[in-house]
Amino acid sequence: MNPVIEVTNLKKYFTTPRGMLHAVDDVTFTIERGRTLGVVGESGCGKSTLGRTIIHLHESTEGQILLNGKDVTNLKGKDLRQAREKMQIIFQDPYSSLDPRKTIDSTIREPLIVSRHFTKSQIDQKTQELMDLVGIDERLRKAYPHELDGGRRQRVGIARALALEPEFIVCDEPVSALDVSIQAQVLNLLKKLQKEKGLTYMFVTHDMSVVRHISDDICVMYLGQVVEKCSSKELFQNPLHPYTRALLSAIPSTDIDKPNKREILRGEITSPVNPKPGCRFAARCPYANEECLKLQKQEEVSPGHFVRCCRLQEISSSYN
Amino acid sequence: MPKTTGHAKKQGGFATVMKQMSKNKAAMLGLVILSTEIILAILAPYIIPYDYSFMDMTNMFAKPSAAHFFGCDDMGRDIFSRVLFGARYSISIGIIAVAIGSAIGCTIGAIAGYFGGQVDNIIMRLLDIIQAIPGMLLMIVISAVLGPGYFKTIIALSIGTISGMARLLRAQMLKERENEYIEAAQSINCSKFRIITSHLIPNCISPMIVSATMGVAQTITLAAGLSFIGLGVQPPIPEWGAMLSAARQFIRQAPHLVYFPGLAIAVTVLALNLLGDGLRDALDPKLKN
Amino acid sequence: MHQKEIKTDMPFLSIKDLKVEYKSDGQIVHAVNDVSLQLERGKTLGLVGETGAGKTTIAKSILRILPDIGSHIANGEIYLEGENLLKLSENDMRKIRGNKVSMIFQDPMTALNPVLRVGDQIAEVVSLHSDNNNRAEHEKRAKEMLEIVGIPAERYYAYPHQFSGGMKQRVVIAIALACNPDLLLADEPTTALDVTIQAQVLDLIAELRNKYNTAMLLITHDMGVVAQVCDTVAVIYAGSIIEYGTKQQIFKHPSHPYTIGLFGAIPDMNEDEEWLHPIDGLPPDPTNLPQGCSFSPRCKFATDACRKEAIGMYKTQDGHDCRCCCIEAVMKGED
Repeated sequence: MNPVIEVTNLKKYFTTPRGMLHAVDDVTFTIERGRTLGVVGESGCGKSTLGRTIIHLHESTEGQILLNGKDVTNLKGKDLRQAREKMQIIFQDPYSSLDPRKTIDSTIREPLIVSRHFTKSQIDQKTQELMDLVGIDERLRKAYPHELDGGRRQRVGIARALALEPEFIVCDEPVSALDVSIQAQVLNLLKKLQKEKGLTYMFVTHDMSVVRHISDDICVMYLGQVVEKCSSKELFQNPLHPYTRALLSAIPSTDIDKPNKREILRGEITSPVNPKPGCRFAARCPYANEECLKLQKQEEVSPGHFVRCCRLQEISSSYN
Repeated sequence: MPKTTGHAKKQGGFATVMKQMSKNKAAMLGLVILSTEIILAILAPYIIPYDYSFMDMTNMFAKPSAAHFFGCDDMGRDIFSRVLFGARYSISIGIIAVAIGSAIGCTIGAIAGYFGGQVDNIIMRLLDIIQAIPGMLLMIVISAVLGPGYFKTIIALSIGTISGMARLLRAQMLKERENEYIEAAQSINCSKFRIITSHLIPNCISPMIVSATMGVAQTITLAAGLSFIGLGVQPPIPEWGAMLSAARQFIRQAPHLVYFPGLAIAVTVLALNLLGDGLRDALDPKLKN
Repeated sequence: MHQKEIKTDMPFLSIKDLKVEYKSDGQIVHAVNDVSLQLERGKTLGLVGETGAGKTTIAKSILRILPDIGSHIANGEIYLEGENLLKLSENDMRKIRGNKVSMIFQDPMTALNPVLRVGDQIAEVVSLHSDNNNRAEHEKRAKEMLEIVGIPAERYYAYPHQFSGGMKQRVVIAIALACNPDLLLADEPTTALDVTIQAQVLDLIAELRNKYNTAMLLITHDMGVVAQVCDTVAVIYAGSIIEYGTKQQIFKHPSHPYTIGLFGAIPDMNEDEEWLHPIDGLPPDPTNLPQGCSFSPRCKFATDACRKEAIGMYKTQDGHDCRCCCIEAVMKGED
């Protein structure tokens, strides 16, 4: 057991004119060194906020974040800067995540300059190494982001995140803006880098086929809460939470002989602003009854498989 | 069409802008007029045929002629020399006042735009108060308090440009701040100062340049206006507005006293506006194709 | 008025040798190159391809809503029920748009006017395409349409911001279908939506298509959506159709190296694999397409012949065409 990141009861609320927006509500997990935790969910479920809160782009409202066993929850100033060098992020949008007025070279160089650990010649050398590592041609060194395609831009974003040799990287939908043929190039690169450098990833995405490919463990989020958490294999073989099942069945399969039996969800999505204590999926859940309006607890149904659903015992028998 | 082609066009800031501008004939005309005026203003002491304050009473109200291209004024001073020399004052007042005003305005706007919240609120309300006073009135009040003179006019005019610039930069910053590259800069430990100066301002600067160019034109007319009512630069300094002001009592018998300084102001303002329009198009990446 | 020529022995929609060019910075962008396709009533044709392959341009050419400045249809014919749309006057074209042919745009968030009630936006379309001025009747029709797309009629008076993304997209679909179009152009109708909502919307579209026997051109980059909805598939690469066939033919026997690569690059939902198989390289610059086959610079089967001259369509099976001159080598290489 060598956890790099341990998150306990993490909460992130935003104040909005209509009340408290529960973006991340009571999330707990650990990620072992060199492994990948996939976080899946639909837009607005708080998966991006979760990643950003862990690396301190947002301040957490409650809960604890441990990095290599050290509490980094409320760090400020110099300590925060030190911790951040170990935790980096790769962004979703390869268009807005690079400064349009900076060359590729100066974008990759910037973290090295800001850290003040290196001399000029070390920075030159490291920038070169990073460009080779992520596969960017030397001739693009002085190019501007708008001259590059999405895949290459994303490589620049990866090089920038790797510059300070972090241990933990939040990948926030890094391939969802890319075409499939380019997406595969970037996913392979991320996997290669993980193997070579022993990186630990938290991989946020809405694409189930991508998350299945890259993750060791998966958290399924719905409106700020983790509704199911288990190993990647287990999730796809034995999904238990009604939401996970609906999510999996909704993915259009490319196998035309086996069209999936879809569980079409009805009802409207509950608002994450001042939510009621019960199950947040209840309004769309085909199995919901009065019990679901009570506070839901996360339970371990089999070793390493956690589900947040009070009616699991009753309804799982109806699954086939 | 997509930009995903990997097809590279080199972009070196200034060169690209000039290339874009060169397609716009009106803007190039503005640039040519303005550069000519600035060069003439700089060389004015060497090329003017007469001293601008030399009074030749025999030539009072002389009509334009080969000896005096623009004629002479009520004290027999050569108007051509005075207009040429006056360019030094009028244009420099415009440029310096806008430069000072922009520098202060940008600093205030950057602070308000980046930090937001209470800081933003307080700054913006103060600017609201300043903007609630009509521009010309504000300038008259400040000039009246400071008194007339070249530098005092510059100060009065620069105070007037601050709030517009501050608002513009703040609005730009609020928009740019939403981009992920700002979060990326935070995540690699950039200080707030570095984020503002190295990332935000370079991305907000284009509209500021355009606005400043147009601002110079506006400031020149305002300076002329102040001189006209006797608050700006004082005679015998041949500032264009002051010349107009002095000439207005003779407008019936010798209209050429009004024509030439008036024309100088009009041409300069037109040139600056053409240039500003051209810059707006050249600096806007959306209009690049 | 010119004589309307109507050819009767034609499929419902037939596009012949369509070629669209844009002018950009003095360079010509070859957006669509010699695209030909047919579509029958009640059928769905999927246009599949990557960003910038020219899919949306094809749809916009049918409606003739390409931007006026810089783009023009250089060549080709588009027949709807035997009538060449490219020869119609703008006035006649206006009667076709929304009435016979309508389009669903990709982004539901920006397609609705935020200051008008959603119901009124549907009613407006109805009134524009109806002969009478009976306001109450248009409103009734709009309410019907809302019910059809699964939104209660009492939400007629709601504003777009009160709706979720999926509901907005359903309103957009209601608007597109309000005049019972014969042809529906759906440009990535579900890309901006979550999968669970996407499933609802796809079901709805399929249901309505069956009910009204509408022909549909579905533009997407998602192979899964194609598998679910389409009857025939056209794979577009760099503005040309490189493979064309029924869904079974394309999914069971992909023949063009690009199509094969596309399937290979998708992470498999049923099998574990250590590495994905991306297609090397990048799509070509549309201002400067390579000579011969436009996929040849990325193709591992490419020979000198591929790089020389334009490649024609080869029939691999009845109704299955493939723009590749090395099919045999590709098929062997695949086994």
